[in-house]
Amino acid sequence: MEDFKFLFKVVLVGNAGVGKTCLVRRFTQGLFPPGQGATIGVDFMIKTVEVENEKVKLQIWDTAGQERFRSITQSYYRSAHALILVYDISCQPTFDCLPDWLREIEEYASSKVLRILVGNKIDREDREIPTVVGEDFAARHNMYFLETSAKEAENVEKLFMKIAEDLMQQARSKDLPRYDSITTNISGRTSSISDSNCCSKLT
Amino acid sequence: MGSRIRENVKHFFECFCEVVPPTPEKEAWIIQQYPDTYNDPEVLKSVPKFAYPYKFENTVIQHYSFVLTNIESKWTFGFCRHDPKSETALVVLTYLPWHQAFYKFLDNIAVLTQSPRSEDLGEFLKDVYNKALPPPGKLFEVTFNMGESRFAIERPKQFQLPSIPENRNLTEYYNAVDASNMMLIFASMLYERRIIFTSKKLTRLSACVQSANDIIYPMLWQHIFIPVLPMALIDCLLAPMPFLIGVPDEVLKKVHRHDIGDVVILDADANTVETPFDDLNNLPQDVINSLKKQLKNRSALLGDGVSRAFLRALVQLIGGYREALHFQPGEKVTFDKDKFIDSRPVTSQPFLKQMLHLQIFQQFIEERLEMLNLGLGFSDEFEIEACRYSEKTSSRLKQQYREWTSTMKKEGTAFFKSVKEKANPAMKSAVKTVKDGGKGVKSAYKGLRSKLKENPNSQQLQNGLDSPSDKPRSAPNSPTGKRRSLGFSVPTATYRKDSLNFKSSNSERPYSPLTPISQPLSPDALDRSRSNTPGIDIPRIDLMTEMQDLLQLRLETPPVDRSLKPVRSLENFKHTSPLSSPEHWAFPSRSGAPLTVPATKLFLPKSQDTQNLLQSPDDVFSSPPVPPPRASSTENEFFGSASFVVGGGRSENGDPVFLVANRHTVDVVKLSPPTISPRRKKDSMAEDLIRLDSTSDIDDFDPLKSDDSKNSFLQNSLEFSATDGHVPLCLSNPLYNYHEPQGVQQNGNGITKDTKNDHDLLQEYGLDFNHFSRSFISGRSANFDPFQPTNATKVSSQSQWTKFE
Repeated sequence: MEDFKFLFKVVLVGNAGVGKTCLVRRFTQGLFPPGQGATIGVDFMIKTVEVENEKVKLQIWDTAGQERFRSITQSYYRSAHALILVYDISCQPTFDCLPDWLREIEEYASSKVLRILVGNKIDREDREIPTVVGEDFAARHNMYFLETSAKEAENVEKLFMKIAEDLMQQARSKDLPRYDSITTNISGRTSSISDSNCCSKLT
Repeated sequence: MGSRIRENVKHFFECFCEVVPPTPEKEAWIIQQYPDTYNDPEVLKSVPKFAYPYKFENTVIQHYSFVLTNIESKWTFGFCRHDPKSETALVVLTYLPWHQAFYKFLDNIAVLTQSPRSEDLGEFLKDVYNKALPPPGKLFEVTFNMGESRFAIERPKQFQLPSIPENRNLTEYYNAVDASNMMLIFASMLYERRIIFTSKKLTRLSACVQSANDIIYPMLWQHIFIPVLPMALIDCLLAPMPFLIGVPDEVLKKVHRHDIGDVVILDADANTVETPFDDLNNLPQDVINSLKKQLKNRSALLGDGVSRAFLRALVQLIGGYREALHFQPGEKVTFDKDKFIDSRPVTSQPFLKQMLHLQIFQQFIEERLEMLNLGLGFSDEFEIEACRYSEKTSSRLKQQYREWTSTMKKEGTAFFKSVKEKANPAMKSAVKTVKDGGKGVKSAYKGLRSKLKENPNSQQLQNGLDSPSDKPRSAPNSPTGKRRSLGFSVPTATYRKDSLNFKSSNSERPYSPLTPISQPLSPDALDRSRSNTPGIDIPRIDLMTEMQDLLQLRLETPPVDRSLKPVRSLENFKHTSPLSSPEHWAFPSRSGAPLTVPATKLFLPKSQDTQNLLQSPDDVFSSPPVPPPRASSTENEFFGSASFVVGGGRSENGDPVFLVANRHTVDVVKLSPPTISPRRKKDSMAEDLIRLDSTSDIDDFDPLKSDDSKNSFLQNSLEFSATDGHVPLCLSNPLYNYHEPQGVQQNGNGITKDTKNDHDLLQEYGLDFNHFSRSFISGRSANFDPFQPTNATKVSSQSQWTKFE
């Protein structure tokens, strides 16, 4: 694994078919590793970007079929730095499900986790959810908001760069929920708080 | 939703690939595949990576499995065979998780790749591919080599707990990882941690990962599952979500540990676990304690003892879901979370609240509800254990479920389309019997317990109290394992020679391995084919040594030893070790029923009972052995080849002794007190499991299930009485066709209505009394003393049934 100053883990959630995978593919286009999701049950893309002259490695994890869960539970969010909640602006039901997703995120994810609401597929003519509705929802739930088109590559780069910058800022201010190196409190109810240096060797 | 195993699988395998190893210039690649029509580019692209997950030296034959997960989260299994003598790796892709079967299949393919007739392999693959899959428990067989040879495996049955040593994965896992570490991993999985297994050996690695997942049955790991992680996918270890990944040592070295974050690491070579969590201690203590206790009893861990110990822990943890089921006529069965928590002991509640939020638990509940709503009832091993654990709830529940199902039926909904076909036969038996009968037994049991306490004969007491519950299947299995280890120590050369002998010796044997028609069931075609292919060396398989180690190190099993020691013919086993007794290879893994009376077990080395030991682990299924079909064992055959009891008596200390003869020897057998599994018996009546006492204490737990051993205690250790102990429950026992258990008949309540089904069920659990009855009859015809007491037992067991009324 190559050198990098920061490693951030980003997880995408949202109903099936909202274009999560396309979003990531667009961002990491042509980059390693293309489409493993089809074979190992998790799709992840890695892209190293530069923010303020620092190398930042973004790992973007796609659920790759985890939508089969009626709900995704705590373990899924346990160690993400940022969550991207995606809906399809041309599909009302995907928007209607947002409160359910959010409830789970609030219940299980770290309170410090960065949350971004994304309305995808703005290239579509048949919009059902006006931008303002999405904005309003995001504001009420203290999330960033962005509308994107994976197809047209609109706002995709911006989305991930924004995430990288924000996380880096958090990291600099030591306000980042860190899962690596030094494990700090994870808000999960039972998650043990520990330091990897004190891994107990149980035999 | 929950299951990751595909249903309605059409073919035994999806694709066979031969993979060329990577070179510095070129990555591994597929040199040929069958069928050509298989065209999933993503999968085909992945196969070489998984076939050569990293650069490794191969000195022994390695079998391992990998798993690919598609977008619907369904698994495709890849079974892989590396042979140091071969340039390439053989890979089979399939939707079926039949590990033993596919390793055997691969071995067969390996043999055929050496075949002088080059079409052989292609024809074989084509035939296997096109052959329809049989129903569970039935044989899948294909002839090849111009009809000269046969490949046959038994389709595993549903709801089978993996057992040692038949299940290769569990055997490997148990061998590599001690009980306390297994428990740590178990707990970590229940908490859905990010878990890494590592080993230098691919075989061990994939087996341990697969087995760890098997052990949480009836739950199923819902997250990232990669039994063998290729170097190319190393970044997966950074996944923020839960995973269970087998990481070859070489691959793990390349990762910065601190990049991975909080992770549980099991080193299967060193038998160590590193974890930043305290998951094991966060499980309810009573569960942990009884699990520890069960796993401590090593002698009880052969057979499905290990699986069952963990299954029981899960029953204790989540079996209570049954009390939170909501039956509303005309509606689907639902689950009430709050009721579930409230109904549990206060000590367990914190954990269970937590558990509700886990993916594996949600999957579990959904799967159970689906089973119920399909009318399948409570029919798997988990429910059987749950019934045992809490009888009161069970009968009430069954009553409710019965009422619910009958309503559903009346309403004529298409609710259960195939209830009748699908339902476990045991479902049909009446709940009433249990309810009414239970009380009688309960009081009878109390009386018995006080008697037992007074009984100074502690030896027997212990035997009865400890063993039956803990290792119902292990007792009969143990000798198997023991002998097997002897077999596997035989070097390759011997094998070959013997294989050849095998051929020449056919003519004198009643069942010639080369004439399949005379074979009742012979999934061992592979072995036959091996022997048909002189000149093909069957190299040592690494696992054999492992198994031997395992058996030597861990088999200090008194019950086993006791039954073995007096046996003179154990030496015969050494000399005619499995590999040198060709017939064994000819026999399928439908071993003698575990209930077999030890004598029978020991002295049918040439018959069905032993073939289990004699096969390579590949050949042995985790499924309970399937008894031989009745038609196959004619009297002639029986007397011709198998051992039979020719006389009996008592040794100086009163233990029954039998004279058992086979074609070549007459042996004196001393039988140990019965350690017959009550579970077996109960399984055969799966629906009517009686839990007499509601305490959860494991100490009480055990004897309660062993009413058959109670019987035998009352009989003062008459070995065969143990078999009698089963009479009340094994209604179709042909042994008692001669004197019908009338009490039972009258008491029927529908239990006996469908003896055919009962019989099938018994068979399913490996009980075939037809077979036994023969040996009994033969013994009887030879004026067999110990049968006197047998009859006495019978009377008493009947009288016990009278109590039920």
